[in-house]
Amino acid sequence: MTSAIALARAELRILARDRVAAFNVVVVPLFAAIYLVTNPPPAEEIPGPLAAAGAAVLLAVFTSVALVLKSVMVLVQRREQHLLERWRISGTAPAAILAGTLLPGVLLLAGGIAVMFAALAIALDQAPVQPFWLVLAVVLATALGGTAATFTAAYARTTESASVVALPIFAALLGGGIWATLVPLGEVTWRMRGTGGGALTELVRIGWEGPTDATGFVAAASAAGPSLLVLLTLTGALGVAGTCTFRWSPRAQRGGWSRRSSQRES
Amino acid sequence: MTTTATGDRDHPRGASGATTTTPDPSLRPAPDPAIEVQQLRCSYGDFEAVRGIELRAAPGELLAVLGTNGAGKTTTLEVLQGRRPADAGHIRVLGLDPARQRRALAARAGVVLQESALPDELTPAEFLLLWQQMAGGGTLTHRPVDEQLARVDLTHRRDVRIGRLSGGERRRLDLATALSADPELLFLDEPTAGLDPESRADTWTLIRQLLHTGTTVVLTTHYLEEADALADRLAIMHEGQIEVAGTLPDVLAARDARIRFTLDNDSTLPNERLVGQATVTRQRDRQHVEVRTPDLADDLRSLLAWSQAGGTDLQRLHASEPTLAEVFHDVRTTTNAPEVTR
Repeated sequence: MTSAIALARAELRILARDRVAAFNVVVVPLFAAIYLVTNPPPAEEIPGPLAAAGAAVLLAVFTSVALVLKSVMVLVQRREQHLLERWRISGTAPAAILAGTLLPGVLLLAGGIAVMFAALAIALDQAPVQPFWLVLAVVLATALGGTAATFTAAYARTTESASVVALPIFAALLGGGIWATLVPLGEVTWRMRGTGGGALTELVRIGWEGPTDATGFVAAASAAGPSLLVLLTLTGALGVAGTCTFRWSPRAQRGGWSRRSSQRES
Repeated sequence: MTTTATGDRDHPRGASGATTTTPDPSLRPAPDPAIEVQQLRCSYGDFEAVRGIELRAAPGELLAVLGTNGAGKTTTLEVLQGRRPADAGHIRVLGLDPARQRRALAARAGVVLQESALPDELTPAEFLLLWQQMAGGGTLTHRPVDEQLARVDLTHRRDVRIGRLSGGERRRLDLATALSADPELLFLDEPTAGLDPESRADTWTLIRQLLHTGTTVVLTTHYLEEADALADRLAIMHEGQIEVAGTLPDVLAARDARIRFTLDNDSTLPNERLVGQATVTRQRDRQHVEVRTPDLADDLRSLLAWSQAGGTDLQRLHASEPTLAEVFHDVRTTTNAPEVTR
């Protein structure tokens, strides 16, 4: 844990020293939130579930861009710099190295989405009905995004190719997220949920709008069940695939840390 | 490079040069080897990078692993460090199985990677501090950062971004990182690549100091004079196999010395005057002659006597003991001959 936190702090420091990147990740969401709050759309033009749909799309955008895309590029760059090898030599556990490297992306996602959700609620005057499901959606988005990035990074040979290699995950999260906003909440299909983005959207909408056929936490949990199942399954599958395929050095074959050497390491 | 470079090897220690004052070292049990490798094999898919090699280094020794590009040196080091699984073989490093006891080994071994692995955006001081927090899960005792920097002459670059350091300075920072917790074993993968002669000499001095304190060093290098100057024991790899291994004197003693000269076209060769098992080769131009001999002094004396007696002028006469460069060249040429092309 100490190693992961130390590494995360170093990664944040690295990010902060890239002034343009630091400006973009901090100031742009703030500007967007301020603009949204100070320029709300006229009340008569707001359809009922707009806030929920907007929140769902925002989560999909932040997850795919701020977390997945950024994390894939960071992992590939650190591998090209041989830093992942360096951290492995330190004796730090593989999971701690990945957690430390990816934590800044997770914080950006959580921080950015919290600001935007708040701005959306204020601007549209539509507070979420059950915020618990929003928080759970963000937590599951970070888990899904992190494992997806780890899995994808194994297939990206260079930083330049990282964004292209991440395109399928990017499309599934963003496209699936938007797709699931186009139907009434009760009509989200398994196919939509299967993209990952659709399942996150359903959770956000349940949190913001509340379940359609009943009220209360139990009804919401029942409605969220299929999406929870899909998200946990996808996260688990990508996590296993990531451990099998991850490459720690540029010249390594895809073998992850599940190969004989590390499975039994003590 | 000349054979006199071996005179720099001023670190009497290890199996070939014990420094202790014990009355009779032969009565002591032999120490467990720091490195012990038997029949190591390692592949990348269908390509077998390491093909059944044997290695051994005693505590406090410097083992130099030499070889051409792609010979399997770095792969071997990666296996010894536990960063890559072996396909087969018995491997013990400081008595540990690197594959199963990677973290325990990491706490006792320092590593300088072949490529400088440093984050450009951090300063040397920040990076060393980060390393201290990460190495061994933050449980190891490290030297203070400023002391580490002073050790590799980087104090004046303490707070400069690593991205602005020169290649040599980055390499020295790599070395400082590896030495952070005073490891028992140090893996150096081409540690002086890119260093200027002065920095290289400083690195050699530091390595010698480490050897004096009993640190075991495994070194890979393309600079033969580096191995010549530092190594107690060496192994020359080629195409995944060890072609030559042993102490430097043993390796050199197993090779013939050379005598080269030119003759007039019509001169006869002095085969009959040479003693021992000398091999005499005359090139097609019939002028250039090379004598390979296990007994340089006797054969040179005989050759000069023959020259004087017959009035034959030995032009451009050059005699030399075998050098590591010649051994290395022989390994490449002999293994690149028919066996390789088969």
